[in-house]
Amino acid sequence: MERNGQLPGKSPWLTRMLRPRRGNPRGRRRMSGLIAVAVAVTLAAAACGGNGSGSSVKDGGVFRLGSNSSIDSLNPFVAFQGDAYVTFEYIYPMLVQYNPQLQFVPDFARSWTESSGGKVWTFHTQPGAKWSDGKPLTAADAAWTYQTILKYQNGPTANSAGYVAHMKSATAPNATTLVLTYKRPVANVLSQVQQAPILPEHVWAKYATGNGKALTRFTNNAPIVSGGPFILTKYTPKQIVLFKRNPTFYGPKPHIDGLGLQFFQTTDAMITALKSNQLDGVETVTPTSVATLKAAHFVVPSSPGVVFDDFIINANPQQEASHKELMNPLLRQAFDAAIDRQAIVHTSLLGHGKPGSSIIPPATGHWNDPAIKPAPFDLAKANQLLDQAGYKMGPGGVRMANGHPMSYQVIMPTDIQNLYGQRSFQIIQADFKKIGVQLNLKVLDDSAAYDAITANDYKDFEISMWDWYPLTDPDFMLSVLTCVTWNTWNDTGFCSKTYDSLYAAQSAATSPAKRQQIIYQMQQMIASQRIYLVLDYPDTIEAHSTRWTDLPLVAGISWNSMSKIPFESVHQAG
Amino acid sequence: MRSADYVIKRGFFALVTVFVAITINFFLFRVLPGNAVTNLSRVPKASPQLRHALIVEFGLDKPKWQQYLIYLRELFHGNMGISFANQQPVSHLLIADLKNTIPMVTVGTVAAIVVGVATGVLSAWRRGTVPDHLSTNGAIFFYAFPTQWLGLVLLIIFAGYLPAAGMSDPFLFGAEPFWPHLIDIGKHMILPAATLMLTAYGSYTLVVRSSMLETLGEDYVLTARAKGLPDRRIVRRHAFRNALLPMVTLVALDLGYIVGGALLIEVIFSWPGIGLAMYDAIGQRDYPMLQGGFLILTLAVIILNFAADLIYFRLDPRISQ
Repeated sequence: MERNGQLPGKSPWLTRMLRPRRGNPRGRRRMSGLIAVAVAVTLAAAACGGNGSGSSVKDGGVFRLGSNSSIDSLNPFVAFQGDAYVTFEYIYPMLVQYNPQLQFVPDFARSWTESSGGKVWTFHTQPGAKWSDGKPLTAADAAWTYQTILKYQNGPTANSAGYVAHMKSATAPNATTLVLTYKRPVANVLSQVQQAPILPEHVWAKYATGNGKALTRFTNNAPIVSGGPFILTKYTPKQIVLFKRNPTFYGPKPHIDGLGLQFFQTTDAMITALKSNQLDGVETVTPTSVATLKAAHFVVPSSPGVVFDDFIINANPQQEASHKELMNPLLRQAFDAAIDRQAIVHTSLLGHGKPGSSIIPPATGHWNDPAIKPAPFDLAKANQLLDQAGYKMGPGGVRMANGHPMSYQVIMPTDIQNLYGQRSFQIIQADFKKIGVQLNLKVLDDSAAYDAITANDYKDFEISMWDWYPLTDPDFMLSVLTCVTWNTWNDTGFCSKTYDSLYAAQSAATSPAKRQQIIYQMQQMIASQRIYLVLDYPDTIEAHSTRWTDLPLVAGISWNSMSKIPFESVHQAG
Repeated sequence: MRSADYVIKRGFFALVTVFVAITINFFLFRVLPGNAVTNLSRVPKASPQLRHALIVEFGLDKPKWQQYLIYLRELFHGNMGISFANQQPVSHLLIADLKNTIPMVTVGTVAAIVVGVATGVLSAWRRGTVPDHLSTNGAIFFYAFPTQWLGLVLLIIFAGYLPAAGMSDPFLFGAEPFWPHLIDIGKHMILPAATLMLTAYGSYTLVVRSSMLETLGEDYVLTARAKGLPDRRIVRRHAFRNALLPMVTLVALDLGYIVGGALLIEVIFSWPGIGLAMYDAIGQRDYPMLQGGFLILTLAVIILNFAADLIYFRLDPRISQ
C-alpha cells in the first residue's frame, strides 16, 4: 500500500498519478499573525537545536529509504507519481512548507503579507540564495515559474494549474520580493504555493517558448540544478534516486551526507530489505508487518491517517430505473446502519485505524466537524428502515424494491481489493445479507473502475468501494463533489448547486472562522445525504532503524512533499 | 529450389503474422475499459478543457481507423511514438528496459533449459528408479508453484544473504569498477533468475523425458544395444540427439518470450525490465508503450519461430520430402 507523501486522490495506483496538494490548517491570513508565526516558529526551531549547526548531533552517513511508489519523470510539468513530488520538495525551493504541527513556516519565503482584501500576496524571499550551479536564486525565478504555469496552464503546464488557481500575475519587483496578484480573494493561497516547486529560470526559460511543448519534453536529467537541501545526483528509472547534501542551500543544512531512495514493487520485498539491513527506513508499513518490525526493534511510528475508505451509493437522481431506489434516504440510512465499522477496523486494518464518519478526517485538524460521528452498527434499525421504505422480503431472503430484488453490484478497484478491500467487503456483504440486500463484487483495475462509475453519466453504476487521500487543506476533498468535477474526480454522481455555492464560498473566505463554518456545513450536507459512507480512517505507519533519530513526521509521514524538515533534521543516533 | 520455396513460404507467413499482430496490438488496448486521458486528467482543478486538450494532444480525438493509419505510417518510419505517461520516446524507454530484462531472463531461461534437459535425460535413462521419481516429481513440484509465491519464499529465505530488489547496489554514489559492478549485478540476478529457472525447468524435464523414452524404444536403439554399445554412448549419440527435436520449438518459443520479460518475477524483485514496464503501461493505459512493447515481443516470437522452422527443416529431412 502506498501512502507516501501527502497526496490527494484515490487508491494507491491513482495516488501515484496525482499531484500533491497540501493545505493550510490554521488559515492564518492576517499580516501580523503570519509574520509572528513565521518568526516564532523559526526562532523556536533554532532554540530547540532543530537541524541547525552547533547542535551535538552525529553528522554524516547516507540514509537509505525504501519506497513502493516511484518517479515517473523528473520534470514537474510531466510527473504524476508520489515520489517525484517529494523529490521536488527536497531539490527545489518552495515558498512555504509545513512544520510537524501542520503550521505554515518559511522556506524560500522568509515572511509574507496579504493586502487588497486578500487579492495581493507579497512574499519576501531569502537574500543571497544560490542554485547548486552557483547562479543566483532570486524572487525572479519564482515569478518566472508562476508566470510560466499561468501562461501554459491549458496545455503543457496543465498538471500544475492548481497552484495558480485564480492567480492573475506573478512579478518580482526586486531580487527578494515576489508579488502574487489574484483575481479574487483565495482562501488557500499558502496551500497552493506550498506545492509549487520554484524552477531555475536560467535552465528552463529556453523551453518556455512558442506553444511551450518543449517544457514537457525536457527530461531534466541528473545532475539537476537544485536549490533545496539536496542535489539530485543520480536517477535510474524504477530503481534508485540519490541525493547529496547541497552546500549552497539557503536553509538549515541536512546532517546527513546523502539520501538514497530505492523503489520496490512489493511491500513484502521492501520490508524484507529493511529487516536484512539493506535499508535504513521504509516510507510505508502495512498493518500486517507492524508486530514483526517492532519485535525486530525497529522504530515504527503510527499516526492517525488522513486517508479514508468509503462505500459509495450512486447519488445521481437520473440513474437507471433499475436501481433508482438507491436515492431513497431511508435506504441510504439503512445501509449506513448496517455497516459494522468496528469490525472493519478490527479485521481489515488489524486495529490500526479508526471508524470513519466525515469526508474531512479528524487528522487534518480543525477542519473536521467533530459533530459528525460514525453511524452506530444496528441491523435491527436497518431492517426497520427498509421495512418502513416498503421493501418487502422476497424469495431467497432478498428484499424486493420496485419489483426487482435488492441485489447490487459493488465496483472495487484492484488496488483496494489487493490491500484489504475484499475483507471489508466481505464484512459488509455478510451484514447486508442479514437485512435482505445482496451485494456482488466486481473487481476492475483502477482506470476501468473509474470508467465504470462514470459510464453513461453516472446512470449505470450502483455501488462502489474506494478510498480518498484528502489533504490537510480541505479544498481538494471538498472539490471532488462539485458538479464541475464530473468525469474527472467525482465518483458519486452527486451534483448540487447548493453544494457548489458553498464550495465557492469557502474557497474565497479569507476569514478562517467563516471558512470553517462553511466547511462544517458542507460536511454535514454530505454526511446527512450519505453521499459517502466513510468506513474507516487507516493509520499512517512507517518504520526506520534505531541507528537514526530525529526524523519528525509531518501529517504522519517523514518522506513527504509537505516539508523539507524531516530529512534536514534526521541524523545518526549516538 | 524446394528449400527456397519452404523459406519463402515460411517467411511470407511470418510477415503476415507480424502485420496481423500489429493490428491486433493497436485495437486490443483501445477496447479495454478505461483510458489514458481519464488518468492523466485527474489532477486538482482539472477541467473539461484539460481533458479535451489531452485527448487532442494524444490524437485520441481522431477516428480509430485514422489513428491506426497514423500509427502504421509512423511505425514504418521507425517511430514508435511518445509515451503518454512520461512524454519520452517509446523506443528509448523500451531499449533501456530490454537491456535490463535480457540478461536476467536469459540466464534464468538457459539455466532452466540446461537443468531441464539434464534431469529429463536422467529420468528417461533411469526410468522407474529413485532418480527418475525424484527428478520427475521435483519438476512437477516446482512447475506447479505460482511464480510470485516461490519468488517471495526465496526472498524471505535468502534475506540478508542476497539482495532483495533491484539489479545493482543502488546506494553507491561513485562509479564502481567494472568487475565489482559485474559481480554486484550477478548477485542481484541470482534470486530472480533462480525463480525463473525453478518454475520453468519442469516443462523441459517432462518434454525431454517423454521424447527420450520414445527414442529409447526405437529399433535403432535396440540395434545399438544388440551391437553391445555402452549405455552412455547409446544415450548420447543415438537417443539424445533425436529426442531433442521437439525441444527446438519449445526453446525457440521460450527464447522469444525472453524479450517479454518475466512480469511476476520483475514485480517481486523490482527488476526494472520490460515486463514491469508493460505492467505499468497497462495500468496507465499508455497505448504507445503497450503497442511498442507488444510489437517487440511479437517480432521476437515470430522471428524465433521462423528460425525454429528453418532449423527443423535442416534437422529433419522428412519436412523437405
